[in-house]
Amino acid sequence: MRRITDPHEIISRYYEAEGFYEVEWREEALSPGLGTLILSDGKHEIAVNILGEEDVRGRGELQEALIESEKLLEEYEGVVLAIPRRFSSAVDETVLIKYGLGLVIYDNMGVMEVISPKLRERRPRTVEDAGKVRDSRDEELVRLRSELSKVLKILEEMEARMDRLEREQRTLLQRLREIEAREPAETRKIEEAPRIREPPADSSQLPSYLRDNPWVRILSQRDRR
Amino acid sequence: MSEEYKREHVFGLDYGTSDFKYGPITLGEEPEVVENRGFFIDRSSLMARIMNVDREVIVGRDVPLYLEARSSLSERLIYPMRNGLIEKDDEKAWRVVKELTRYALQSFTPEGEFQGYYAVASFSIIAPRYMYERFFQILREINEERIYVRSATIIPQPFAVAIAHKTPTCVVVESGHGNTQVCPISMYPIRDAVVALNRGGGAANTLMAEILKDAGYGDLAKEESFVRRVKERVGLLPRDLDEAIEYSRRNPDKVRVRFKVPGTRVEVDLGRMSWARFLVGEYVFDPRHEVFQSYFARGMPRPSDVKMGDTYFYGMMDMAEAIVNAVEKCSLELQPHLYSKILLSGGNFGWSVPEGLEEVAVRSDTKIKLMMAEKGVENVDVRITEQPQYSVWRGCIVYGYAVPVDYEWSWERMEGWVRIA
Repeated sequence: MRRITDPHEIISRYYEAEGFYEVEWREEALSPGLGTLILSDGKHEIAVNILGEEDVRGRGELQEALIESEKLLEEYEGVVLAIPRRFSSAVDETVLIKYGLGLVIYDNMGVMEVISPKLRERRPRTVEDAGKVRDSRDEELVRLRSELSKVLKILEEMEARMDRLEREQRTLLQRLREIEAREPAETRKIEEAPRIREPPADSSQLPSYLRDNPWVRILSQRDRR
Repeated sequence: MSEEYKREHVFGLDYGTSDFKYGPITLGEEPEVVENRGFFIDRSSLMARIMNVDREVIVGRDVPLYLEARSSLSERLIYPMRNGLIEKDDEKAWRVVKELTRYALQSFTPEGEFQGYYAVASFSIIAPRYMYERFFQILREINEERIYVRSATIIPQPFAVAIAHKTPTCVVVESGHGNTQVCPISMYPIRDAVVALNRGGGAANTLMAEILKDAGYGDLAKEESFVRRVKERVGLLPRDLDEAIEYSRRNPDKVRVRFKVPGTRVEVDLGRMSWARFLVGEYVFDPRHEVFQSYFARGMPRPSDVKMGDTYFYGMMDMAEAIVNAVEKCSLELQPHLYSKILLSGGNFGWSVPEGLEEVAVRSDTKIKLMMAEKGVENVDVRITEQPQYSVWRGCIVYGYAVPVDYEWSWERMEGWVRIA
């Protein structure tokens, strides 16, 4: 697998896989930032502002990029901010959701969409209360996303536990079949506690590390010195 | 209590740096194994409420079910024996040891009338006296619920390795995650002759991470478990480092390796940096080569001399020198016998030789032989222990099986049985 290191190429490929095609690449159109990638899926046109590793020195640059991205909302149906993965914790996701901006994080291994951009009509809304309704829906969305991620995590953990139990059950069944195959039916009996058993009396049945071990003689004479 | 009862009820407990091995003599060849760690659960968490958890610490096989976001792991997931030592006042670590011990004993304690196991625990050779005292106290506390342990004792891990390998006189080199201990043994562990190095598997991981960064995998080099897997698959131990580097330059395709991490899209290809595979093994055995200076200069921490408990850990001493120093602290008469059998124990000695690289890569036993020869010590018999993960537990079982029931504990000898119940 060839490792792709150019952020523009990494993000462009990601969106291609999502059904978009590249309309234009405006290198250095964004300050700070590498540039703005314009994409379309035939119905919607979205802009992706890409920040590079070198562009971010603190929260100031991130805020500046957010303001620049927000300006593009008037021009495009959706706007996304793409940042290197290691800066993901520095971005307040609620702010992006509030303004309808999308967020993707990337590194050399690929891209992950954290927030989908809110796709809108190019014609701005004129109803006064639309903003308030949108805000409350966004808050509800954030809450639901958080709850959903908790439930998914629990499900994953339960699934892992089920897998383990199933594996153990299969192993036990396999062992049982092997034992049954070895013993004639009339001599089969169930041992109640197979793990707690008497140690073998004769030395040939001792574990290998106890058999012919000179330390047994040396240690057994400890109190006689 | 009869000798016969004791032999039937020996219980081994090996507190390794990564894994905890435990179980009674009746298990035979192999003990139970869980990771030597505990997770301090957030009782208000959703998972804790769903699972109706009333404990503060989770140990054993259920730990993965409770792990939360990565950010909380460093505070809540505790590996108490990472360096073989627990600080006196590290209450969290002691809590984990207590829960693991309880977990182990409960797993094998029969219902009904039971007079307790003869527990043999194994600690690092450098464990100070307060660790012994605290452990015996923990057993007494666990016994308040019901009798799990009748008597207990603690033996050093290298001593247990020598016992399991049926070798009364030898040098055991035990190399774990955080450090390496060299311990001469002649019927008893010779504690005054122990030499410890401040290098282990963790140091090799650090170097592997630097090599990965240089090869363009800086983003992945932050994940310790990933780095360890790459080290195990890609790292090599050179016969001679200079020759191995020269060989790599002449034969880049032979040395080049690709490693795909199972279950992911990640593939590591060191490319032109493939010669650096040989640095990983060499660093554990001898970090003094000039090639390592460039890594130190760029900020990789140099293994330093430190004092932990009563023990000095040497950072830059090579492994053969550590063996020679340890042996030379013993009597002249004993030295040839010690050199005649050197046991290498621990996961840090598991270097393999890929097909086609036999000319330049070696196993740990060959490397130590070569290094000892350079110091003028010939005819050494070096062996890598078989099934090293079980050696210490097996040594505990043999010790408990053989040592007489009336051999009482002595702090001078650091041996014998301590009555718990």
